[in-house]
Amino acid sequence: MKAMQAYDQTTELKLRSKDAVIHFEEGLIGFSEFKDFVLMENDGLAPFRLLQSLESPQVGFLVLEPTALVNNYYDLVPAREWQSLGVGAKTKPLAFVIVVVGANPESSTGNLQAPLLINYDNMLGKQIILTDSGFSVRHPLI
Amino acid sequence: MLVVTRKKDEKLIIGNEIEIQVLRIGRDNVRLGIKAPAHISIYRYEIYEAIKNENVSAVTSQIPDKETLDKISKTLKAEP
Repeated sequence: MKAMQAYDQTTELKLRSKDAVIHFEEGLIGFSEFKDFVLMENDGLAPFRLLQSLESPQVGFLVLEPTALVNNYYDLVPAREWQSLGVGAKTKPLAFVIVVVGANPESSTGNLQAPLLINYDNMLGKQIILTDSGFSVRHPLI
Repeated sequence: MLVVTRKKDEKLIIGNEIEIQVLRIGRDNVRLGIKAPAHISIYRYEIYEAIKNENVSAVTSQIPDKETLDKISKTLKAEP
């Protein structure tokens, strides 16, 4: 029930563009059956965005650009991970971390250990695990 | 589950592209070498499981209370 209420809210969010479907070939970790997502945003939600599954209204992830939490985050993603998505010198790499918002700001966290990488040129995405980064799956947001 | 016995240096192949080799056998651990195409992700199971659980809790949290979000946003923007 909670998920459905949340979905009603998400329908009010504006799509970036009609064809902005990001394809996750392997799905997200633990969610391999959901492969196509759109990134939704609005002023009320910013700087957060909602990565919404097109296959299920119940599946959506609140995301945040990791640079809001860690300055040099992009440098810590291995080059081969970007290459596997087809991100080259001319493509702007884009990463998001999945956020879990708790009962209050202090208990809200971002998963810096397993970011979502997105190539906006070919609209491919992938969730990777930064195994040796030392980052937590529950990095405090504040 | 398929169960196979292998000796040191022996290999398995999964599909046409994934090779697993037993590199060393210790008393209570084994060292494995894995050869796979770049697009195949390989992780220790417990790490994969932890990320999976975190993804699941992220889905159930969905869009939270606007007031909480605003409070977090303000703090984030305040940082350099």
